[in-house]
Amino acid sequence: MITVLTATLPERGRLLAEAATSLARQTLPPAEWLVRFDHEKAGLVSVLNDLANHVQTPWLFQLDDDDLLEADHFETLKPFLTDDADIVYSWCTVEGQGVARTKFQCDFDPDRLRVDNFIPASACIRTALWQELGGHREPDWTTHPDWDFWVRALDAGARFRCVPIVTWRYRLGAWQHMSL
Amino acid sequence: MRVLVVHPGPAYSVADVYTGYANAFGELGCTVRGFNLDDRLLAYTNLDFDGVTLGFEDAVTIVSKELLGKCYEFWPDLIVIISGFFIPGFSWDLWKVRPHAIAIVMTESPYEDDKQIAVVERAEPTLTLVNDPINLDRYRDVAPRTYYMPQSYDHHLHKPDPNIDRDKDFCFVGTGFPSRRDFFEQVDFAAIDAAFGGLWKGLSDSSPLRQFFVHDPEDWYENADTTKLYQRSKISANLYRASRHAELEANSLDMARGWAMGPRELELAATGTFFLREPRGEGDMLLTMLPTFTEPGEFGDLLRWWLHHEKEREDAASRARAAVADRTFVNHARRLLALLP
Repeated sequence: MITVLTATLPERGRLLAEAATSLARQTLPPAEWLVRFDHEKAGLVSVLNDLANHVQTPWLFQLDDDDLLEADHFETLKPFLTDDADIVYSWCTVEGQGVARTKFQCDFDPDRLRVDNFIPASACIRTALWQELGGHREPDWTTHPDWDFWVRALDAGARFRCVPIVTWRYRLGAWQHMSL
Repeated sequence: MRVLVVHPGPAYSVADVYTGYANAFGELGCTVRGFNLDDRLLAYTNLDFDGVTLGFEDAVTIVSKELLGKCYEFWPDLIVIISGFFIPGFSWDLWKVRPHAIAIVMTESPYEDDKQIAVVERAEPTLTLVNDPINLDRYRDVAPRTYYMPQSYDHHLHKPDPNIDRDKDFCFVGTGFPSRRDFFEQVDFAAIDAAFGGLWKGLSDSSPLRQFFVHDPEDWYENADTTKLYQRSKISANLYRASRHAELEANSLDMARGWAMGPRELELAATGTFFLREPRGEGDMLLTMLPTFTEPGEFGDLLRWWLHHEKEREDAASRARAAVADRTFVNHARRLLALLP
């Protein structure tokens, strides 16, 4: 039903291993996990778009290499991946200094989304919508391709759904704090 | 796997959770034993030695010693505690130094979350499951391995019965909280063949609802009878506890705000019974085919409209049943086992 996409770098192997462990513990495993090491430094947008070309499931999900999923993440989301939704996101706990842990625990608000990115990249996206919008791009108005995607999805009439359950952990600065 | 399932104590709907999980673990191939904490508490609190009786706390202590004895006799891999309000500290402490995995299934979220979080903090269980995710972060502060587990239904019991005619226009079964009494007393049931069930202690003789009760409202209404009544009814309804009198029916106003669907909604949907529902987060996403109400007048109008539109009603009920199909005790027991470390 869902394919997980992860772009990473060779030097982030330990973070990736932790993300992989959280994925392996899922009570409802995804159909596939596509991972690519960006050896050529092509950039996140390029790698994700390339990975997405290989998705054969109705839904895709971007898992950043420093994110951790609770064991019930996909099983919790599954009932909400229905025909009347195109982007389904759950809540996360932010771990890291300087940011409220509930920063990304927001109900969906289309007006707010145009001025504030409150949906992290780790959301379920209907594969057909991803293809229709041409995936991610390097926007000129923000440094966040995921936010740019959400706004283009809004413009295209995509139906967003917020599942207000904390099902994953957003590790802010995990890369900087990692002991090598 | 050897699983010991511990009864919560109270006999109302939370007891169905005990039975449901115990049967489900059996269906999954586990060796299951139940611990009838309810019967034992009742027995000890009813003892009378020439006028000398046991206090409730003493009865809890004795029953808990029996529970520990049961653990030694059966030596379970997993102890599943339903709610755990009557498990004393010495039991939690002993289990912490024994190899059994402990799972607590909390059933009273969000209304009793303060109390439930206190239990979890004391118990330090291996796994905690809550029936509403509203305060998941607060649980995880004291027990990181806490997850939302939706309410469950028994797929052997809660299903449509083609041999039963839906000869009742409307039924409602549930506890007679003041909010529900006030609401239904304002609904116009004229010419509606209605049936009410559940514990409605103190319902006045002059209440217009009294004529609809299919049993004595001062007594419990059995779960099996409830299911039969659902199967006999064209329309039912779900009203959340504390949706109107939050200060009376939950620990606080904050505790009254829920998101998850309740057990009655699942059971109604699973039996293929059409129902009117109060708006709430999860149901608003999954049960969009069922109409919502907020006021008694609106409720009466909806009731009459849907009574006269059989095809639309049956279609919506069928889609609601499909929407909750996988929320069975067996599926949730399997998920519980998968969540263990």
